Amino acid sequence: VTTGCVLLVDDEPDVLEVIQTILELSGYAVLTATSGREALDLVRANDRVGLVMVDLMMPGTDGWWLRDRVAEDPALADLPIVVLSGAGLTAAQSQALASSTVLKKPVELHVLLATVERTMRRRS
Amino acid sequence: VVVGDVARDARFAADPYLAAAGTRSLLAVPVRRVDRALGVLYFENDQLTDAFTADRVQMIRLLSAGVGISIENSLLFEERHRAEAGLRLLADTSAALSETLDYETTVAKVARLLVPDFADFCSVDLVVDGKLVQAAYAHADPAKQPLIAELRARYPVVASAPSPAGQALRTGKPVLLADVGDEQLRASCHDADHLAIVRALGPRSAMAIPLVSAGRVLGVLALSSVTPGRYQTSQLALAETLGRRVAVAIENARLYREAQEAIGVRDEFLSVASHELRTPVTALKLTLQGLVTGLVPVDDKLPRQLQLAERQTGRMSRLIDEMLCVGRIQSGAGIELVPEPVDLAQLVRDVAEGLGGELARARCTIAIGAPGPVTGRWDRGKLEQVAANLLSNALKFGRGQPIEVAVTEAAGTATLVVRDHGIGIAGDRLPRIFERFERAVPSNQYGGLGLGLYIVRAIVVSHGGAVHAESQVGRGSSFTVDLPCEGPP
Repeated sequence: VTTGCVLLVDDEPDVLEVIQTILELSGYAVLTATSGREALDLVRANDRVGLVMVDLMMPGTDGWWLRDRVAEDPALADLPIVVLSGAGLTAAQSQALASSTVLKKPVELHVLLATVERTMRRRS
Repeated sequence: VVVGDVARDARFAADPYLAAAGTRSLLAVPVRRVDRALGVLYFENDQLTDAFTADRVQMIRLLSAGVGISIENSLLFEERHRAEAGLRLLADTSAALSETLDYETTVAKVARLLVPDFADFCSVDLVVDGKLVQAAYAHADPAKQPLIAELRARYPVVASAPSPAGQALRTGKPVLLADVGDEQLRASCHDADHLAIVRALGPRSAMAIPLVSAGRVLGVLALSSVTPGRYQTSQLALAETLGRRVAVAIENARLYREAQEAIGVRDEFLSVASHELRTPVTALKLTLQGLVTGLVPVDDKLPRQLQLAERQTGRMSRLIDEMLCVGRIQSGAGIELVPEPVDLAQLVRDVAEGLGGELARARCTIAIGAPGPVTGRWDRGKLEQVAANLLSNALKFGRGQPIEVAVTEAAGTATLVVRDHGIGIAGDRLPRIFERFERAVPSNQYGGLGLGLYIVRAIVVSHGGAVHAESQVGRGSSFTVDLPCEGPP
C-alpha cells in the first residue's frame, strides 16, 4: 500500500501494541522498538523505514538520544521523526523540537492517522 | 580647694612634691560635666602666699565652667557622630540584607560594610547541615585577609571553643571583650600556631554576636578591633541590632530557598504524574476509538483489546491510589490499618503471580524462598502494596536479571528481602530513596511517580516495622522489610 514502513518506538508495550494494530489495519507495515538504541539499529539495517514515531521518555537511550543520532547521520538526514510524548516540555525543549512534528499523548486516533498519512505521502 | 599658705596647711605641709617645688599657695578647681567631674584646673604659686584671692578664684571657676561646657559639647558631638555612624551602618547593612535572597552574597556584603569603620576585621560563621562554616570575612587591610581564612580553616569555630565566637555559639548570648590582653588571647587559642595567627591579626577589643532567629542559633558574627577599648556597651547594642537583622535575612533566605526547592519538586512531580497518567490514557483512548470507528474489527481482536483496556485502567487506578495514599500520609491522617492473620510467604507468592504479564515482558524470573508459612497480624491489602512496589521496582531496575525473594521469621519478627541484580543505586542517592518524590534515576529515564518506596516505608513503619536498602551501582539492590509478627503497635 505504501512505499515504506513506520517504526514505532516506545518503552510501553501496550502503547506499541495498540498503535501497531491501528496502523497495520490502516495498511502500513510497522516495526517496533522499545529503546532508542534498538530503533537506531533497526533504521540502519532497514532502508524501508519511512517514518519514526518516538516517545521522548524512555529508560536508557531515549527519544532525544535517537533524534540526535538520526540528525548526526547524513544517511538518515531525510528520515521524518514524529514525536509522541506525554511529558510536559520546557520552553527550551519545545524550541529544540520546533522542526519536528509533535503529537501530545493522549493523541486522537484521527490525528495520529492523518499525521502518519501526510508524512508518508510526502516521503513517497 | 584653695590653700593660702602651703607651709601652714596641715594637709599639705609634709607633701614632698610641694616641698620640692617650693609651692607657696595653690588652687584646684574641678571641671564638671553635669553629674561628674571630668578633670581639674590646677594652679600653683611659688612666689606668694594667698596668691589666689576670692576674685581670682571666681575667675578660674568661670574658666572651669567654660572648659566643662566645651568638653561636654565635644563629647555630645562625638556621641552624635557615633550614633549617626551607627545608624548609617544599620541603614547600609539593612539595604544590603534586603537586596537579595541569596544569603551567601548578603553576608559577604555585610562583612565588607563592617570594615574599617566598625571593625578592623570580622567573620560570619553559619551553621550549615549541623556544621559551622565560615560564610564571609573581611579585613580592613587586604594583605591580612588570608590570615582570617587560614585561622578559620585550621581552627574552625565550634561551640566548645574557648574563643568569644565559641562562647557566643554555646550560650546564645553576645560576648563583649572591651580590652583584650595577651593573656586573653592565649586563653582563647588552642596551640602556639593558633596564637601566632591571632597575634598577627592583633585584636585588642572584640565582640561575638550569636545570630539567633526564632530561638535557633544560626551562626555567629565576630568583630574585632586593633584599638584597645574600641568596643563598649553602646557598640555591643549596635552589633546586637545588626546581628538580629542578619539572622532574619538568613532565615528568610533559607525559607525562600526551601520554598523554591519544594516548588521545584512539586512541578517535577506534576510533570511526571501527568506523563504517567497520559500513557495508559493514550493506550485506552486509541483502543476504544479503534473499536468505535470500526477500524479495529470486533470479531477476532476484541478480547485482546479489552484485556489491554482493562490493564490500562488498572494502571490508572494504581497511580491514583498512590497519589491519594501520599495525600493521606502528608495530611497527617496516617495509614488506616485493618490487621488480620496473614501468611506473608503466601501473600508474596500471590503478588508475584499477579505480576505474570510484567514478568514475561521484562523477560525476568522471580525465585521465592520461604521455609514455611510466616504468619502475623497485618493489614493484608497494605502489605500487598508493599510487596507489589518492591517487586515492580526490582523488575523495572533489574535489567532482566533473576530476582530473589526471601521470607523468613526469627524471634517474632518477619523479614522480607527482595534482591535484584540490576542497575543499582548510587551511594549518594541511597539515603534518600525513601523520601517523597525521590528517585534514584532521572525521571525522564524511568517512569513512576517516585512515591513507591515512600509508601512502602510509611506502611511498614505504621506496622511498627522498618525497611532499609543496600545497593551497589551496576550490581543490584536489596530491600529488607522487618515486621513484628504481633502486628501494629
